[in-house]
Amino acid sequence: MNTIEHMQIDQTDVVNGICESFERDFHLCPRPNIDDYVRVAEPLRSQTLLALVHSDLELRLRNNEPAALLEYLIRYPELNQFPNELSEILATEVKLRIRLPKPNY
Amino acid sequence: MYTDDVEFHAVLSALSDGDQDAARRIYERFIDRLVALASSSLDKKNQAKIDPQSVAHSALMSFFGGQKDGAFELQNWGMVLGLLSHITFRKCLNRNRFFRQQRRNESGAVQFEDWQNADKNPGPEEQVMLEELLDKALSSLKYPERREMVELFLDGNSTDEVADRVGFSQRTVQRSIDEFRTILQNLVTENAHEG
Repeated sequence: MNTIEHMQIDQTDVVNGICESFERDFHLCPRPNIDDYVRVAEPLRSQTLLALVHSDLELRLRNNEPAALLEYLIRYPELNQFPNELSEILATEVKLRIRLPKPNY
Repeated sequence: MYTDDVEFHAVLSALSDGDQDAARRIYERFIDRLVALASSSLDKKNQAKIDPQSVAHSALMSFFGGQKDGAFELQNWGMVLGLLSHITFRKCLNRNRFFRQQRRNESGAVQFEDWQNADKNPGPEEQVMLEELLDKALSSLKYPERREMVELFLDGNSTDEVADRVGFSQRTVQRSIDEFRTILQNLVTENAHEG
């Protein structure tokens, strides 16, 4: 069972709400910083971080910007504890890399 | 304040209180223009199946419901006409979409289940009711972005395409659709209990 499955419904709502705020702010200038959003939900840090990394990676790739799961793993080594969630994020990365035009970088 | 302004505020205020006479005055003021708009906005192929009068009537009913719920902030008759035209136009688009889909289904391979359900397609009244439920469910979504996501999805885009169009992740798009589905399901259940 992965981390998300352990979460109660209201916790999932909190994480989803934070994630949606992040996505709403993503197209603003300056870009939102993941760390600022994780700080809001410190007791749910791991789940929030995983969700935000997933969103940030996906939105960057959809925006044809450089992004790779590996960079997030270097920046947040704690993510290595969650192989199930990481595989989902990696699946998104692979799907978008196959589908989207080649990046300009 | 001009006489027309005084009349406008009095009628709208009475309408918000559920006054039938105010509703009748608005109906008589706009119905012809809305019927004309519906006639010009409905696909020619659908005009034998859809009465423009029923679309205009449905638009006015939606407007009356919204006004009673305090959903609009209207300042003059021009704004009322603009809003009613918008509602009518959207209802025409929805009906055009529905019948286009139906034609596509009819032109495809006919399954056994299709034959079984052939006499179960919604009639005009059920269709109007369904659209009103859809409108209500859409306006219940918390954020305008979510409404946009669901509308794009209902227009036939995949969640992946919607994510590209709105700049949100596919998971957020899926959550918005799930939320919409739950709201709609609750409305349908409530409606069934009331009926």
